[in-house]
Amino acid sequence: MQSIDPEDPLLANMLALAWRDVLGVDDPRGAGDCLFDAGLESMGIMQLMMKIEKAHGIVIGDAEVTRANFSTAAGLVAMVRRIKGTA
Amino acid sequence: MEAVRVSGEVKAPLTGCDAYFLALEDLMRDVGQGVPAGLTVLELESEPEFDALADAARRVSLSHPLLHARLVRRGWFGVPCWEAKPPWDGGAVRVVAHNGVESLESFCSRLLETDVDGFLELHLVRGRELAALVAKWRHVLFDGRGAELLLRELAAFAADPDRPAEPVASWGVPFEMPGSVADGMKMAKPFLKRHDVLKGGNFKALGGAVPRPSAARFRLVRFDGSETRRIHDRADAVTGGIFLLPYFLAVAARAHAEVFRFRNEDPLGYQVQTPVQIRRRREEHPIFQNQVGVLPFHLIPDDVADLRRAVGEVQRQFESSVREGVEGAFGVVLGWMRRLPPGVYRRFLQFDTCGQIASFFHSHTGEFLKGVDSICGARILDGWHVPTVSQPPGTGVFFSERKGRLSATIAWREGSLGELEVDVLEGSLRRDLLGEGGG
Repeated sequence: MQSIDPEDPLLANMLALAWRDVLGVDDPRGAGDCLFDAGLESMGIMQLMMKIEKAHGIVIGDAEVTRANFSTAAGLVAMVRRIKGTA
Repeated sequence: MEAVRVSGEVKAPLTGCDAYFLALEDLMRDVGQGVPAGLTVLELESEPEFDALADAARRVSLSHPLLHARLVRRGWFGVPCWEAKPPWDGGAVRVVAHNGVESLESFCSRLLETDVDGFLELHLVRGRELAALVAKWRHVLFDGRGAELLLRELAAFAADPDRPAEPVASWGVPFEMPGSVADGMKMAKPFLKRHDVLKGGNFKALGGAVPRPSAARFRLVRFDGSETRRIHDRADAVTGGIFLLPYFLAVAARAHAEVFRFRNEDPLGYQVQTPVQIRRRREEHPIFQNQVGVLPFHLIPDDVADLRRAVGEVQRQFESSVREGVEGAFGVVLGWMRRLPPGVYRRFLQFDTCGQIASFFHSHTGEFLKGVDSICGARILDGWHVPTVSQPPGTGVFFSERKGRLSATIAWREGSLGELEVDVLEGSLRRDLLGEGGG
């Protein structure tokens, strides 16, 4: 996986969507912290997908809905970049 | 959510699912099936300290006004509320010790045959080779996760004898109702769209449509650590390791289909309304009320003929439901339905589903009592839930996991499943979860 700039606005956005909006953690953790360990489960994954699609005007295809992509905020950033063709 | 301190009289409107259980309670009481209740069972390494348990239960009782509440409905179509007035006493949670118990599961079966005293009872179970704490709760005020949160709080009180009791508001309606009927109709559209598929005639329940007096029964299916790892590996291979809700629902649906095949019956389909937790995973409140949304699923016989296909179809319906806002639509409709008197509500429910209610009940409550290792000085070895089911539909399959060990509770009403049929159902669960022969 590509390294991610901690100041990257896309990373800040993914951290906020995943940790604050879906998991309800007020102080979002780091890019590599595991979302599943923090309690992300089926409904939360689905909500996160919808939020990312809406925020970035993309459609997340079935092939992208993998544990690797949804495990961390860094994985989400890479996925969004890949879908937008800006990876 | 933080629990806010309260003083004086409290009022809490029922959630949409509370009212649904109130309607089921009306049906069950009417035909001699008791009330919708659940047992949450903690298997312990040693005997817990009774005095510490009783004192913790007293402080829990003083801390939660809803344990003292009564149901109040103002006018024919007013939203029913729990209302409670201070002073609160410390006796809302009855603690009973049982000595010389030989089998925990037989004890639980007997406990299911009695009514619930108030909303919550605690049973300390002691035997020559067993120690357990069993919480028995009424479903109109608790869901499974809420019962776990209550036990978490009980453990915290027991661990800190100096922690004072202070009344807090640990409740709340999970869906904000729309401001106008027009807005509500707009939000409810996805429900109406699905209603044609979901209504009765398109599915069947194993218990039949006509309610009968019957006792609650259950069988606990335990999977050890290595079996549970195998189950997760198989689930990951089918789902990509990501959506477990569709996987376990598909497994439960196929187990029911197997029993219909055993009976040489071929229903048109299977329908289940799956509860989805609204509480966030780390939150310790709200403890009370059914804090769930509902997602409906409908499967036809071809869907359940193959596990991968069944999971794929549930997954497809799951995704389209979330995209279309079906959970919110159900929230609005259930919110409106709260206004119906329970007797009218349940007849409406029966009429709308040709008496079947659903094909079966199902939930996966996830990791059981995460982060709580002991209670009243006793280490927790294992934990599981036993929800009672109404008939119709007469059956249910419920999953939870404690420290890497999965439990499946098959719950049914006497007469809805024969002993051989329970074996068939369990066999199907094991084969799907573990692969091949299911051993």
